This record gives sequence, structure tokens and C-alpha cells, in this order.
Amino acid sequence: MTTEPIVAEIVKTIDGLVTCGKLWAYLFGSALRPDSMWSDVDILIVCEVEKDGQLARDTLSELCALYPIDLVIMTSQEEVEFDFIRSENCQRIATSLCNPSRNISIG
Amino acid sequence: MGKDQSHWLIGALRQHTRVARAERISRSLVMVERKDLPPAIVGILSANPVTCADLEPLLSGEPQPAMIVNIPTRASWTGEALEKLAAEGIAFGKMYDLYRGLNQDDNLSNYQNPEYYFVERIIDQHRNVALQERRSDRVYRITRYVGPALVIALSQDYEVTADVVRTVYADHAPFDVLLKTNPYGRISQQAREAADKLGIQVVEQDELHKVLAS
Repeated sequence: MTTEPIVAEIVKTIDGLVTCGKLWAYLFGSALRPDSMWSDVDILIVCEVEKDGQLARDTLSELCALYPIDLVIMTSQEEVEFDFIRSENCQRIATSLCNPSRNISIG
Repeated sequence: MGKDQSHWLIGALRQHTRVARAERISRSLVMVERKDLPPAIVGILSANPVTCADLEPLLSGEPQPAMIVNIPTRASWTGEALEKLAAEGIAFGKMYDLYRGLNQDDNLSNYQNPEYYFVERIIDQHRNVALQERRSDRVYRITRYVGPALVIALSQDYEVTADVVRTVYADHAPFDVLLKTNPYGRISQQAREAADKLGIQVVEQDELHKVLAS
């Protein structure tokens, strides 16, 4: 069992997601190291608009129930604060469709 | 989850260096033979939160698992479910916990998540703590000798972001304190602002003593 089918599902989901601001998905952790054991698939979501992160979490919830996917969601500002992409060698795998006029409402 | 999870688990366990063989017992039970440790039976489910009703199919038959693994990494386990598992002597966790347990524990049913264990020990040993009740795997209610009772929710996240604060709050409120149990990583400024807006504290593990005392 490899992580490839799981990552492919995530890519398909994020590439089809319409968000208010830009949103990117990255792969990091053991799934990037072909020879290492993986217990979950580490995915970083970086979003310009905080509510888009919640949208991504909701949209990925079915996949997260099927597979051990560890979602880390942060705003662009937080990513700069943590320097997460560089320090974890994250690899970009997907980008949402950005439509700034989209009006999302999260309860 | 309606599908047979045992096949998925067997496929995932093939990469584990300590596993010699994994064999399906039923749609939610797998026998794991380890290279240098005793074999163990593992139960698998997918639920959020995990309740006693979710455990029933795994506990009512024979053989019983030594450990039950829940697939969603963010899912919680109710206090009643944890009491039931403790009474039956069965370990619990997510895939990460299973991998650790398979590496370390002769008897897989003895496995405990180290972060939860560490936090429970700090709370237990604090002189201002009269009673701790575990409401779920990551929420504790602490009765203190001095000061009002505190409800503490745990986050195992490496980086605590505003999304983590809001997600834990949505899943586990009401609580007073969000405790970052992972000793590595940080709490972002936006996470602290989100916590302020929600009227909760977000603290690092080394601040727990102070929180319990104040």
C-alpha cells in the first residue's frame, strides 16, 4: 500500500475547489520519502483567506474518514511566521481555483 | 465505514519493518505477526467521535483485539468508550499509535499514547488538583483545591494555528484551556488571537503547571 492513490484523491479534490483567495496544498513528511514507513499522509494547506482553510477541511472530510490524512491548515501569514514550507521541505501538489467574488459562509 | 477495512490495514502494515505477516480475521480484525515480538490482534474502525456503539461489534465477538485503531487522525474517543476499553484491557489510538505500539510493546494492549500519558501524569501529580475526569481522549475536567474547575482540551498538533484553535473549539467546546501537548513547534500569533476571541487560553505544555495553580 503506497500513499499515491490517497495523494491523487487529495490533488483532484483541491484542484477542483473554488476558493475566495489563493489556496495551495503541499505534501510533506514520510510520504515524500519512498523508503520510509508512513502512518499517515501529511498535507499542508496554505490559504490567503482563513475561511478557505475551513472550506478545504470540510471538502476533504470524506477522504479523511477513509484514510489517515493529517491536515495542517495555516494562513499565508502563519506560514511566513513558521517558515513551514522551507523547513519541512513541503512539495506543492495542488492549487485551488481562486474566485475572489465567491461569497462563502461558514457557520 | 461500510467497506472492508481489514484489506486496507493489511496493505498499510506490509511496509512496517517489524511486521512479518498480517492476516485478515474479519472485516474489522487483523492478526499481526511480528518478527521479534508476540503476535497481536488489531481492530480497525472509522468513526468520529468513537462511541461505545462503535466498539460493540469489535468487543462482542471472539477473538478480542489487543488494540483498536481509528482511521481519521482528528477523531476523538468519548469518555464512555475509553472507560469500556480500559475495563476490557484494550489499547486505542490512530495509525501512528499502532505503528509505535507494534515497535515497542510486547503486549500491544499495554500501549499508551506518550503525550496523553505525560499530560495525565503532570495533572495527577499537581498539588492543586483534587480530581481529574477524562471526558474524552483529549478533554479533561480538573477539580482544583484552590480556584474554579478547569476544562482542558489537548492538541497534539506540531504547529498550533488559528485553524487548530477553531477546529478544536468546534469539536470540544466548552473548555477553558487549549493545551499544546507536542513539545516541538509553536503557537502562531493568529492562533492566540483566535483563542482570545473565543475566550479561551492557548498554552504550551510547560505552562500547564502555572495554569493548574492559578
